[in-house]
Amino acid sequence: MAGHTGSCPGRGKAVAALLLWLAAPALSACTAAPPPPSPRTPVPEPTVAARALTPAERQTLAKAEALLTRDCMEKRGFSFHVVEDLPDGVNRLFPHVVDDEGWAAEHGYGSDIQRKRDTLAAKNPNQLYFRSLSAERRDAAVDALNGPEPTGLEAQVPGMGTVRHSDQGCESEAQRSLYSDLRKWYGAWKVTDALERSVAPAVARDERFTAAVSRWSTCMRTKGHSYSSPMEARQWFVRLAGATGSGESRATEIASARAEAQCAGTSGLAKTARTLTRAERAKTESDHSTEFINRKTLESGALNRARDIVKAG
Amino acid sequence: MKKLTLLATGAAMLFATVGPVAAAQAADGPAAARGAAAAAEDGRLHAWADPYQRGAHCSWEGNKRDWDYGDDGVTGNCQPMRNLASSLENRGFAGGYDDVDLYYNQDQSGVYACLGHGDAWQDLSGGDYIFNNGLPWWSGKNESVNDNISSHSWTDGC
Repeated sequence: MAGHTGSCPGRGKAVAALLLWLAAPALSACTAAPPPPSPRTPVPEPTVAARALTPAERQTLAKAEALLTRDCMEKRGFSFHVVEDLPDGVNRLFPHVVDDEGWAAEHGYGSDIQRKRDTLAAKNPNQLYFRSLSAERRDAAVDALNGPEPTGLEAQVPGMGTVRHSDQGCESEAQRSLYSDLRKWYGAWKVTDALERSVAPAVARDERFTAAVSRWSTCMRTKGHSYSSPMEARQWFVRLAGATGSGESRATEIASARAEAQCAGTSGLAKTARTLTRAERAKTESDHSTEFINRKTLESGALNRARDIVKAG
Repeated sequence: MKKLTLLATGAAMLFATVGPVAAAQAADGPAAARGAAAAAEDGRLHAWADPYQRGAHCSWEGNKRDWDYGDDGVTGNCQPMRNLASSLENRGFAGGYDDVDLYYNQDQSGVYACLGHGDAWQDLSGGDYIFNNGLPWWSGKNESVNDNISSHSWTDGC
């Protein structure tokens, strides 16, 4: 594929891309038509900033990576299943406050979703397969998938020091196959993921956010719910890590979550969270533009091949 | 493989017991040491008291509410590990909850840091690893991860 990013994004995608590129030095150029896919596409030089991938495109990459991992594991004598991701829990869907009254009415704080996640995780075919192996085979399976020891790849993660990984396992083989430059991919992946995770805590520290949380808490009290923050509320109902819940009823959970969503609107907390998140994300990407650009470039470069791999199954 | 079953109301003597597999292997010398190490590397979270995977060594297949209360007994070298670990490796197999959240407090509470599937922190002692997940007023915010992990749980996606 030539060093351009393909056809112009549709309006929705352009908006999403724009939000993520508020501080970008250059926007990607739209080409007239995408080049035909080829089996061995060279990685394009990052001369033009690649546009951000859509969630659907990210899923295509993830699926292609899983299929390549499966092929590698089978060559090494192990089974490997391509499985859907677990459904997102409340912390991913609503990092700061539940602001969707319809969702709150159906799920409360998502204790139902958490139970589903726990069940699916416990029944994950790869975990079940792994546990069916003997001790020696388990050791060999982990060596085959992760690599024998954590050397070969490393990333300097801001605020988190150095993280290391083997470059010998099937997951790395799959990534090498998709992204060509495995070392560059690992660094870009680990750094950008960690930086994305840092956005929510940074927003929570902002005094505009904490002021809005106070207003939210006041609103909740007038509705008969006493919580100092949305985080406190959800922890009461959704216990992670398999811990037992508070014993509160589903009806109580839903009533509380609905009040939370209403107050999120009237207090301005929902809007404040969104605005601050956009700004913080833009600042983070701008402060670490090299790694974000690397990731987008590698992902864009892998997309056509990933589509072929997914189609072939 | 037979594992030790740990009681939640933990008796402090847990770490004095060595699992039957490890005890049998201990008799055999270097081959057994390699066998013990191999048996330890089966889909678990590993923590060592010292950097670069040295010193006391604990490993867990599931979650753990208090790192002082022993491990699965596979390494044969576990000591109370709460607030002691200086290197970690996530040797989980893929699928479901295969990343790990490491918490400042027991019972998976307080601030936390996430160690991805297949990843390792070889030396936390430099002090540059900070608990970066959690709200500003939670206990342990901006503390160093070194010698400060008390519990963990598996999760899906750092």
